[in-house]
Amino acid sequence: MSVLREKILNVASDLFQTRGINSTGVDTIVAVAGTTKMTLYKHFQTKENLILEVLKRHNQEFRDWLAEKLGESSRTPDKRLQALFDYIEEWMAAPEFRGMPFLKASAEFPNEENPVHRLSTEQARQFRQYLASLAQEAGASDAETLALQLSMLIEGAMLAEQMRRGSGAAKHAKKAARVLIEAALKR
Amino acid sequence: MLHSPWLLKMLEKSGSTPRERVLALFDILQDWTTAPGLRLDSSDAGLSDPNEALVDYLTEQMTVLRLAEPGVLARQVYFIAMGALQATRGGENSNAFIHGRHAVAVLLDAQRPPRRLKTGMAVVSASIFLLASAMFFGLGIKSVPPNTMTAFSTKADNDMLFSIHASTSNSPDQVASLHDSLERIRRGVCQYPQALMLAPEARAVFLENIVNGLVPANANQMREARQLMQKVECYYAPVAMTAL
Repeated sequence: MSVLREKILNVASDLFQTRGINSTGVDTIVAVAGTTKMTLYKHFQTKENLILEVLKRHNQEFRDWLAEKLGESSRTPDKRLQALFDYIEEWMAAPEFRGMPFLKASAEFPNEENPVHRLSTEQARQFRQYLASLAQEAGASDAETLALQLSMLIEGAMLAEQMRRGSGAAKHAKKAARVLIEAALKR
Repeated sequence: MLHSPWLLKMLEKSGSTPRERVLALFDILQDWTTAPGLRLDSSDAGLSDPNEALVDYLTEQMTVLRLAEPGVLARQVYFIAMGALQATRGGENSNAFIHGRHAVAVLLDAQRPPRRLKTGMAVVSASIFLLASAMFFGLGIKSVPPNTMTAFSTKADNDMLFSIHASTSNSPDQVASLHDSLERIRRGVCQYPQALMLAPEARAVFLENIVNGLVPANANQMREARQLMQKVECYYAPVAMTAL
């Protein structure tokens, strides 16, 4: 991958997270990246494409990180499901936490036809699916329902943490998750 | 929107019990997001509104329900409501509110005071004011002078528990530690079911020195109060929550 392309992606990713996607212009991105608009368009064609690339990369990084963390643990499946919340808490507590990119993107692009909205909806769906597979391995009788409940809890907590850093949202969500997981496994 | 006076008003008249009102949040949000011509624009949802009115309202309801950690529970419900709104963005997961409601019902049940479940005694979860009034006025238990330490001490002197060393004075450390414990009890949501099972003498100390929070005048009473205090169950909202 070209070094410049990588640089533009990194800068855009950082600016989108800190300033918001819509309020970050292409001019700012190229200025901070130390390149030209022509180079940006050569690699990404449009700003929309650049946004899509940034979202894909964030999502991949998050999934890889989570899979690696969960893979490291030799826990039983039900403990892994619970451990997921420890890692999410860890992730949310990191100083560089800026929220779940797909949550922010879907908020900034509410139009359902918009490709950015569509991609973020798809990423949210994949995340729920991942939770459902963990729930199924853990033996939940209704893995889909538990996955939806847990994803709502996580997304709600992330939105709250985004609004107010240090809100303790992750810790509260983790406690609630434990109750929901136990209840679902008992059934 | 999530914190609007309209929503709070709707919640208030949505049910006759706090539990019904908390769960009704999901019904109202579902109606609101699916009403023809009123289709929710996600920017109206208040997902980025740092206002706390809804959390405050939910906390009140949890407090009335005497659930453990009302502030924490309120926030958990709030997360699920926000998560459900988020999940319905783009028209997906129209059943998110139903699942959200169910999840909240599970959380409420799990937080019910455990003693209430075990003993089934409704009175256990009653507020201390009800408990105290029942003892003073309803059950006709022998008189416990309600507020004056002097009168109480005179009575205690005649009781077996406090007949020895009644005039021994308290050490400053003990007084400080008791003050500290009482202060903590005041900050928490506490339950005093043990009062029902105590001997009348101990119950008097319990009511006077722990429930009413008066520091005992002598060492024996102090010792007794400290022992009884350990039986009190309190739930505290974390400092970060109370500071909000």
